[in-house]
Amino acid sequence: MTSLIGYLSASKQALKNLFSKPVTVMFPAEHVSLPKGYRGTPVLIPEKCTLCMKCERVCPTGAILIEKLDKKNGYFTIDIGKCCYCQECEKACNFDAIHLIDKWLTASDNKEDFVTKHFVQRNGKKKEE
Amino acid sequence: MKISMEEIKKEVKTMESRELSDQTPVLRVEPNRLLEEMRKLYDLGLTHLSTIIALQVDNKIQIDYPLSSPLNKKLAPAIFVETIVSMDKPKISTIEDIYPSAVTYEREVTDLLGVEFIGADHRDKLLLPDDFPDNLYPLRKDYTGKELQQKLDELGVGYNPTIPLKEEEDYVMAVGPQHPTHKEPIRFKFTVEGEDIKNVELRLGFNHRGIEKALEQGTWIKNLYLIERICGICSSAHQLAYVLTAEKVDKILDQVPDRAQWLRVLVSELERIHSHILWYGVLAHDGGYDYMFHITWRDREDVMDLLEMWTGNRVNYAMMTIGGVRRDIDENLRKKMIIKLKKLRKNISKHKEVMEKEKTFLARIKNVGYLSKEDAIRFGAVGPTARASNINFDLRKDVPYAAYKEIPFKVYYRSEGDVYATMAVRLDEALESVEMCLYVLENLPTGDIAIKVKTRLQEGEAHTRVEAPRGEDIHYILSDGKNAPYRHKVRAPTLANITSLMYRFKNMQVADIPMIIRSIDPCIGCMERVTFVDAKTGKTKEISGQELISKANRRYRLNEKIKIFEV
Amino acid sequence: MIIEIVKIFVFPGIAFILFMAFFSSWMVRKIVARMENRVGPPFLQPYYDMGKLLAKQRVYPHESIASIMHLMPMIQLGVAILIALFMPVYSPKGILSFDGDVYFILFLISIHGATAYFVGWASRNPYTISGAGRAVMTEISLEIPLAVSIASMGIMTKSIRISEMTEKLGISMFPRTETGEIVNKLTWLYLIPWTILIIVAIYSAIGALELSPFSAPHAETEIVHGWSTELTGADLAMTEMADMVNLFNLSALITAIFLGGPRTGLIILNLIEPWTYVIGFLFFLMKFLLVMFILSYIYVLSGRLRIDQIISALWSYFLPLSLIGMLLVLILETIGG
Ligand code: SF4
Ligand code: SF4
Repeated sequence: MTSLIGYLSASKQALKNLFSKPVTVMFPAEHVSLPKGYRGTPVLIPEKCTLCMKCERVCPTGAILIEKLDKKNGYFTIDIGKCCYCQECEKACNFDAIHLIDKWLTASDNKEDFVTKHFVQRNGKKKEE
Repeated sequence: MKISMEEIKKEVKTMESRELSDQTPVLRVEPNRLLEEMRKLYDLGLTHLSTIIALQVDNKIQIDYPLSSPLNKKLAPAIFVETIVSMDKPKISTIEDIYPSAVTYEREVTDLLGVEFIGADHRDKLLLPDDFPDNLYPLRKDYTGKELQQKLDELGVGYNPTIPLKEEEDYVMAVGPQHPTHKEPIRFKFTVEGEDIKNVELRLGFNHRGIEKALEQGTWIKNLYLIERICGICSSAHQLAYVLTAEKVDKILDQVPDRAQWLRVLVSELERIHSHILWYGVLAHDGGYDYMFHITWRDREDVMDLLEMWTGNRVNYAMMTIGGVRRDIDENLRKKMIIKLKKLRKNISKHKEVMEKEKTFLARIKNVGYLSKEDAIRFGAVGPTARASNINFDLRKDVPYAAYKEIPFKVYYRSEGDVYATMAVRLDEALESVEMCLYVLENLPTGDIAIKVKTRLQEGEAHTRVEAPRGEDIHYILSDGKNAPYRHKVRAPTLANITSLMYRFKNMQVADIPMIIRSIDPCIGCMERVTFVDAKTGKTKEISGQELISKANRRYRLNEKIKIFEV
Repeated sequence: MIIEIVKIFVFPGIAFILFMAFFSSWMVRKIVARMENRVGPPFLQPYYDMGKLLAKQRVYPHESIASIMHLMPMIQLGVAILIALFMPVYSPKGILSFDGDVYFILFLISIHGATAYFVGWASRNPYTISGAGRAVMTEISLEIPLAVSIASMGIMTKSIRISEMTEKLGISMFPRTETGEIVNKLTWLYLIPWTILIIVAIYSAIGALELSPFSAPHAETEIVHGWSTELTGADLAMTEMADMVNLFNLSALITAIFLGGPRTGLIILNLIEPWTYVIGFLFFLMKFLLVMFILSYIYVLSGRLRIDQIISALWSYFLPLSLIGMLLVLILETIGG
């Protein structure tokens, strides 16, 4: 008898599902909505960056690579193939220059697609700390 | 009958006794007296061996045995038994007769530090590849990680595949390393007769990542994110154990703000909910009850959404940091969470109702994989596995950490000891966790969420045991004052449960294999974090996806006959 | 002549059978998916699947017997289509029909089990051998309840020919006068054995189709894909197609024997020649879909039993149940006859 009750309650659900809309999100056509504060791809705002190297030092995976040409110029490389989306860089940066945005469709066949390289020119004036 | 810590200390002949930074007593005994003292301690009620911690200190190898008692609440906090052996030809007697679960831990120590255990049977490699050189021990301090990797690359370790199955007298059925039951790399070798299981052998090490060695090369902050990747499902349990241990080492545990501790509980409990729902969904799938699998996973999305809303990600939450947590909850989010949790509570009760009543499914899980209370204690079962065998032990209650002391909850345990009991325990626990989350959200203390800590921690030693969704998870850290741990030992719950798992296959059938394996909620990823980076995976990284595809295509065109058995 | 050829190859012959097979496979998958709150496959999915499999390379494992693994799937498909030719679709008579064809069909169904065993054995793999053993055990155990329940219907309709059983079902259960009045009130009692027998038949059909709760021969979490684990490419396509055709066959068989197939039942319509066929076909389709729905419903809502549980369920519940059904039919026949 108890088994019958279990069967019935499951079947009630099943029949309800049969006539309700599926929960599946048809992926490439539809997307799920992301909440505020989602940790996605780290993106640099080159104008704000001062090449202080702080983010490179904290990055646990070595996804950030800063090559300084001289005191004011340098290349800032982010390799999201290595990034673990931990947000330490955003926390460490005093100049609001690096952010984790809600971009998450990053898969690619090509390793080069993961690397973004910015030329950063430090413009002298510091932003408020 | 119930004897306290002080009396224990009196009973044991120690060379010296000291304390870890977290006041855990350490009893150092002479290597040749180890067996005797361990037997005495076992008889006094310290029946649970959490792991074996071995590390190289100068020219010696120090071996620690954290013992505790699941039945005697006074002895629930661990006590360390320590012994020291010399580096060249280290030898120590095995304790597998007293603690059967020590076998896996001892084999691990043999693999990684080259300690020989006298009196044990011949033991194959457990974690390292079969072609790993015999005189190379990854966790010794002779090499840094880089040097070791170079050496292994030169030797070409890992290129020879694991020795294939040989034809044997009996009929052998392999489950894993690739098998639909288990999407994780582990190999059970079942000797079967018709549908009955006669014997089972286990081989791990298909997925070693060398996290313990890697941790020694990181920094305290960087390690947070590596620790988290020990396991995808219980990531925050590992992180919590790590930060608590680090705080104990640095002696700042009591300065961590209350709100942070409560939020730590919240993330752990949300994680437990999603882990348990995932688990019983997969159990249903293993039992061919795919309907329930889909329904539970649909409802699990709610808790995943919750976690995503708060922490910014679905799996690796990155919530803990040494000294607090990283994200706060605002009023808006709190309200949303309460609404979602209430919906979740309703859904989980529905799952409970269906899963505990559907007859065909119950036929598959009742009286399957029985583990008695005595055996559960003897084989060192932990977590829901132990609670399903009538052991009323939960680290959250018995050795409270974070804010668990202040949050009311009930520990569920059952006496059946079969797969059904493990399911019932987890269903109840998931419901209880929802209640706990609601309690936390309604009574959240105000204040800061983190304190500032230095990049270098003090010298010290500490350990923490936390109740991960799968059971007891122990972390041990030895810091020498640098900005990375000197030794960080992790033992994930699955390794503790694997000994009892092997025992559960007794008198069972082939069809029960998936259910029984599932009963302990195995997570091979966390179990095998130990060895050094596998040279093979190190190399495959160099091959691009394109190359791999073309390789596969070539094989396809050549029309090679694929050999399955080496007969 | 041309009509005969069209009948065999187009409607209701091979082309129609394959279409219905693909359709029923899609139907079951869709119903299951929707009950699980998923979207489910698009209508053409079975065609894509088959196309893909047919285009794939065949691989035979080391030491396996390739000829058997190649031959058996073809036999399976052939047998399945042969069974399908007996099914009454628009009129009570199928393309093939002779006295005792019901038992011929049962014999053909058991051939499916035997071929499964050969495939599993020839693949030389622990999973396939395990699966093959399970397939045969299930087949043997479900055979008898199915045979008994069909035989009881035969007793009820006094025939062992599908077309006659279909035709006479309504008349023998509810004998009527010219005006359509039911002669004997007692005949309502026939519904009791009928219900028992149809339940047995449906569960046996589920077993023959290797669906849950009797899906042990295919248990993916235990033995990968049972006896067909090592089949690849076109061979796999053949077995899959045979499975789909069998899905059609068993649903159609239950429709024909228990629900009167294309007959309109108690509704009396006086129609001229082609229209009786059209209406008959529509009625067949309706009943067929109902059976399919029940099949997928049971399939969705049950777990997978272990092989020993399957055997004990079939022998100790369904076989006695079918025998009770038969007994009741016999009693009613003697009283009412
Ligand atoms: S998110 Fe973490 S891993 Fe990624 S770039 Fe920033 S610090 Fe490095
Ligand atoms: S992104 Fe920020 S932390 Fe990194 S170098 Fe630029 S300014 Fe410094």
